[in-house]
Amino acid sequence: MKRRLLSLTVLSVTFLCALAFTGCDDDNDKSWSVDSDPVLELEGSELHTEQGRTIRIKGNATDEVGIKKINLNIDEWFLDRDIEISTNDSLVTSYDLSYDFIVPEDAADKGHSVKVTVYNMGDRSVSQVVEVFMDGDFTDPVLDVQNPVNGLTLAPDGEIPVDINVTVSDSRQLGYLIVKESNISFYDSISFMGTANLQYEYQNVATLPASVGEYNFEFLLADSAGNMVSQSRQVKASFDFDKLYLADVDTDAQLNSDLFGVPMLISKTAPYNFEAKYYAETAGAEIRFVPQTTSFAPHCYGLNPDDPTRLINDPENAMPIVLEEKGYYTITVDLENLTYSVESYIPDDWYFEPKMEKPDDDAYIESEYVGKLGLVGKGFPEYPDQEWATWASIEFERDPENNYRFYKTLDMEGTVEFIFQPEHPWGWWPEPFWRFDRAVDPEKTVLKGGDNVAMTVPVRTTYKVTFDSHLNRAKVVPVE
Amino acid sequence: MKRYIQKSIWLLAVVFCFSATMLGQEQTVKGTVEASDGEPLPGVSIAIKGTTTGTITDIDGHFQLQAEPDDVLQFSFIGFKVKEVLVGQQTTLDIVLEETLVSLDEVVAIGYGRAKKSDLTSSITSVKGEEMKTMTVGNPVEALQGKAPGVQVVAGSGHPGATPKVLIRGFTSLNLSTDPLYVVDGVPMGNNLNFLNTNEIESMEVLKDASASAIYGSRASNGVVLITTKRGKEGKTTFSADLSYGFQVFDKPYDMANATEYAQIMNQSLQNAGLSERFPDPSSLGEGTDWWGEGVNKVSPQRSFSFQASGGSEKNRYAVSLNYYDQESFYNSGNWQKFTARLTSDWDFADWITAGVMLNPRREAWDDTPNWYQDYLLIDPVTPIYRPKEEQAGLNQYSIYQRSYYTYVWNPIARDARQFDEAGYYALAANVYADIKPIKDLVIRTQLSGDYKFEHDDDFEPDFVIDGAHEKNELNYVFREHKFDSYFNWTNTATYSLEKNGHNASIMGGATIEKWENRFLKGTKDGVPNNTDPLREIDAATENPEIEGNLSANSLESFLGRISYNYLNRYYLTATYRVDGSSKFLDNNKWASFPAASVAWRISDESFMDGVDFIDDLKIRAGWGRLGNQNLPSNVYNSGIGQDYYVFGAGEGSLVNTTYPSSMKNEDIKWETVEDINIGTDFTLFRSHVNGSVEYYQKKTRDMIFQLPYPNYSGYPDDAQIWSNVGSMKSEGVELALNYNNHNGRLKYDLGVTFTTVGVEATSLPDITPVVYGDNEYTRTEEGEVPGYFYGYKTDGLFQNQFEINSHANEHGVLLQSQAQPGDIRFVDVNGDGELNGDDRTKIGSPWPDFTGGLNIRLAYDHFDFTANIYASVGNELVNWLREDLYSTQSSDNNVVSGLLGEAWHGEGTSNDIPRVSHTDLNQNFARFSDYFVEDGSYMRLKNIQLGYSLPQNVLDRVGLTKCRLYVSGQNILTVTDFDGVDPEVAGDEVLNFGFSGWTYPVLPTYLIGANITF
Repeated sequence: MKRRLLSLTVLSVTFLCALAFTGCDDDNDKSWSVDSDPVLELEGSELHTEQGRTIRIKGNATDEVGIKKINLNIDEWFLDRDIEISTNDSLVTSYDLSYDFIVPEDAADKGHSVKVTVYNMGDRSVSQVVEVFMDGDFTDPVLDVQNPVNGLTLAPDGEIPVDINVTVSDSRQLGYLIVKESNISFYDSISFMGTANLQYEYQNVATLPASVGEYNFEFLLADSAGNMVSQSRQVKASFDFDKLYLADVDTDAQLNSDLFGVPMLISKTAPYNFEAKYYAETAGAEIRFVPQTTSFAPHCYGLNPDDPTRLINDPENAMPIVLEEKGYYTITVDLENLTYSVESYIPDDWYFEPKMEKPDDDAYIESEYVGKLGLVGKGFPEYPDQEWATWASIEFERDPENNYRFYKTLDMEGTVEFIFQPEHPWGWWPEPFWRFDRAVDPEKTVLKGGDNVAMTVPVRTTYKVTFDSHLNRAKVVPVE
Repeated sequence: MKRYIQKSIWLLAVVFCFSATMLGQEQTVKGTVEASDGEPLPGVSIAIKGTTTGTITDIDGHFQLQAEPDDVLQFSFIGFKVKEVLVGQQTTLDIVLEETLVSLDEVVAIGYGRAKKSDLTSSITSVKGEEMKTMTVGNPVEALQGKAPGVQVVAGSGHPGATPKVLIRGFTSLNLSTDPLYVVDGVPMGNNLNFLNTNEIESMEVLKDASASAIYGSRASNGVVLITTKRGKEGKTTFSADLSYGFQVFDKPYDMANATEYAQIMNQSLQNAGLSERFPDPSSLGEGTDWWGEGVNKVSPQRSFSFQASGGSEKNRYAVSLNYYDQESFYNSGNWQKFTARLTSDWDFADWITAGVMLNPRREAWDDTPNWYQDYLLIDPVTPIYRPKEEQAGLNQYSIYQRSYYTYVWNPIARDARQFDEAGYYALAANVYADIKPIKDLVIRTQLSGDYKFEHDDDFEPDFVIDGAHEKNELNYVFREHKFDSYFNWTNTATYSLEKNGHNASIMGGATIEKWENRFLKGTKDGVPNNTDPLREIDAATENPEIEGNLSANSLESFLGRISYNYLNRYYLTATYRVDGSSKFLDNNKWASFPAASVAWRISDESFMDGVDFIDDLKIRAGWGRLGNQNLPSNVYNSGIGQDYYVFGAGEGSLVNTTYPSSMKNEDIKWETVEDINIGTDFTLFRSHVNGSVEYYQKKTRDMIFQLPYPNYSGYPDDAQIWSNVGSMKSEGVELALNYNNHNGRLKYDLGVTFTTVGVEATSLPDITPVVYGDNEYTRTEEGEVPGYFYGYKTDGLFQNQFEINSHANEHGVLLQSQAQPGDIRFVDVNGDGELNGDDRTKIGSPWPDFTGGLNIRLAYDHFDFTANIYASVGNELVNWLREDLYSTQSSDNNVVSGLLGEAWHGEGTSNDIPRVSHTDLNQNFARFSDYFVEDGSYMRLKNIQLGYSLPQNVLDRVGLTKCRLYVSGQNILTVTDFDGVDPEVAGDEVLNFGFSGWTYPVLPTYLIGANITF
């Protein structure tokens, strides 16, 4: 307080001295004699928008002496903004106005008037009004390409038919849809103008030649207001798959009901050769291999019923490989020669251990504490405090027989985000933690790196989360 | 014989407390005592020499007592020279006492020697033990606060056993320790004086400038504090005892919401965040649980007891002191106690040899005092302390507590119940010395010292489950640690003094070797069969054994010398030189030299000052010196290896336990070097009624030590660092000490003022890190600025309405705070770029005061005496983190202050300071570090106020005592400040995180009664 008083005193004395020496020359008192009004030219006097959207008011203001300020005013939207432009020392005679404003979410569905007023240095002013209407269409149409799935690999045994199924929709009026693949000169387009269609189911079949190749199907959808969305789908004609997955389930429904992790991605070691590391949770676990994630068709590798020492690519007849004992296995498959091998092993690498012996010792908690591993993120209605809070980490149940395995059954709903993170009572972020190779539909976990899972669960669902830190794999499957 | 009996009785009485006995009397002597100006002196002490018999003068200076003809009467009075008179045949004595020239003949400690205060050429402040013992403190340094100019003592915490932060003339290092060197009886004793009791101290000298402290070379850059302990004096054995009993008071620091109000606040906060209200009927919750009242005691007692005996013959002197101090905490667990003893004996074996020994056994013990008093405030008041009775069945005694219904604050009473950490140490310091005078004027001194400390720490964490997911410890745990620290010092000096024809010279040369060793062994184990006391042993545990142990050592070899010369006690020259060789550095820089020189001129003795009567003594002095700071780890010349897990190998690879180079040695590492100049004057004026000093100092540090990262191209990992000597800084300031003493009739008074300014500036920093951040970038240090200034956003009040939010935009309408709502904080776009981001952070305060000062008052009236010490720190800012805990509900259901709904913004014009309550904080009101958290940290504190009463001589005579003084005192009972945090006396671990105030254990008011008895 004393220092403030001293500062005030010094400032006051300085100010008085300054007044004494400068007197009437103070620039703040300078007055301007201006005979003309400023000129304001707006780019359009009407704007079409919608609630919550940004409008931009553009124009140009000029004045022969200098533009003092521009005021934008609309009381019902709580806007009364002065843009200060010129000072007595720096005069601006031409100013390009470009002002953004977010229309309130609760703005009434009617025309609104934004008053724009330009003042010159002589305080003469002119005003214009921009009318803002709530009838703009800024919502993109919805393009849902069900087939082909991205990354689809098909064996070029002969000409290959590719089913195309697309659902399109728009909130106001669909415009047109284009589907094309340039390598096979496939092109199709539909115009919806004048049909008042809000939704349309598009179906077609494209044919690929009987040879190895890569194709890119492009989809472009526009609405009547010109909002456009596009997607593309990579389709490959090949016998050598980029990725292969291990399926330990029996039906297509089970392949699709998971949030992620089913089927399980395995490693490619050479062309046509893959190696899977897998933990059989029970004796007699049955596994097969698929190159696509949503169906056992068109390709599914399993045991050849006629010669169980070899593999067969046949969704109907391939027999599962049966893992006799509970535990870890290394399974190799050669899709060119249709051979395989199975070997069990016991891992001896590092596993996670919490470090929480002194829960009341602040120095220990600050520097050493690593709590039990759990889920940290959001979208868990049973855990309302879990909003990316490590102090409220949702603790895993650790497999009592396997230090690498963690389980948790819980509900998820809405935007679901999470990582695997040790708890900390102060909300700190002790290492190690695991994130994922990608936010949506991740295929493997990443130690001390990667992205957070960020997916949507439209309806509250009970899932079981399984994490294996040795395999670096996680899966989230619904609980019946 | 009678006196011996009385002494014995008193000796017993002190042990068993008090009793009294009666005595007889002899022949009558009467008279008056007056000052040289003829004014009668009341309250003058008159004692028969060598006895405890005496009296004091009345209001007119008259006295009367019984004495024998061969008795010698001693007349003593503060501010006057002691006068002795043989009674002889006189029955009437009229005595005139002569006023003393204050302190000029006083001898004070200097490095490796002693000197007359009047001969000092450097900046040394001396505080007498008698002055310090007016305060009952755990650490004697606390009693220095406000008494020594240039010494800033910041308690930092009132926690039992806490160590205050001491800065002598600011600081000279950013990354190394800023603690001064403490030297007790010539032996460096680390940076914590907890083991000393103020009663043991004869005097404390603070060596502030380089010309005084350079004799301590590489450890002196933060200043040196020399402590001289009491030793025996020739004369009959005197016993004294100092007893005090007191208590600290811990009032609830903030009035928190009760259950009903808590529910109302939470409902409003949830509603403001767009969430559903939680409490349908807040008033049904009533008052709820008063956690503070249930778990924190209002007062905690502390006791201090000290007993001294000293005396001796011409050939042998001895002193013994026994000291005990304890302090309890405000909780069920926690306390601190210490016991120290000091035994000294000095022998004059012959004219040419004197020798002595000192033994200082000591014991400190503490049960860890809980440091979570804030939890009693922040836990929700809706939750009861215990689970319902029916839920307690089958649970162990640590699990019967209720988990907080709404917060993640652990049940603080449950935590208190499971505190079993006990620690302490046994230590012995000892030294022996011999002073040999082989020829006239030459003294050879050899001193061998050691300090051995055995420390122990036992902890047990019982298993408990209060909340299965959050508040539990499923496996109980045992911990034991033993440490053994040893220190050895051998110092040899030779001093030759010469006096001839007005030339006075002294030459001292010496050598020291010192070695420190620290070793520890600690082990832990989990899974004790149950939580009972007998099983809290490592052998009783069954799982997860872990053990650690290590040894570190370092040593220092030094050669030192000093030449002191003066002519006619008028022209002075002092020069010192020290060479240190430290094990912390390799051959390139193992040795360093620390020279210093100072001159002084006693102007008052010059003939041209003859007519200036009001000046009794006036001396000006100037000094220069070079100092070092070697407070870095013992092994920085070694490369370090770190450990971590990484993924290696083809494909996805596999997790591998790896090692990597985490730090690299620097063979050229050397001391931080401080160059210091000091100009000052000492004066005594108006017939010694006024004395003081004024000084200017400037300290420049170069070769500052930083841990620098490697450039990326070097290939070392990101966190690999190397200790390097780069950067420089400067501190300068002015000090003033002024004392006035006089008497007015029977009222004697002594007033002292100290005043210190400290200006600190970083003058250059490493090219690779031109800006140094501290504490999550909340502090910043850059060239030309004060180090460690607070760095954050500026605020401009709160948005009062949507118009203000919409106007807080750049010229193109882009909102600077698009998430803001009315009631949120408006942050300033400092750089005017139309965006609000990290670049808008700026200096928002400095933790360093413009000045600190003290006012010390001593009054005496008849048998009453009065002491008051006031300390002030002015002009600094502090960060008050509690402005979040007390006023914010964002992402938290912790309790907040009562009345928050009225104080916080709740409509246009309702507040421009405390933001609206809301469970969300999209505007980052509290997440952004801003001047919202910064407050004026200036304060003035009444450190000590004491009223004493000394029993009159006739009463003392009857009970056989020499002196008996009873007193009441209050310490820290009044603080004047605008700061709203718990305590403005805030420290920090290091320079770059100074001034942050959270839930620190505050310095608390203490009320004491006590007695000082001599017999």
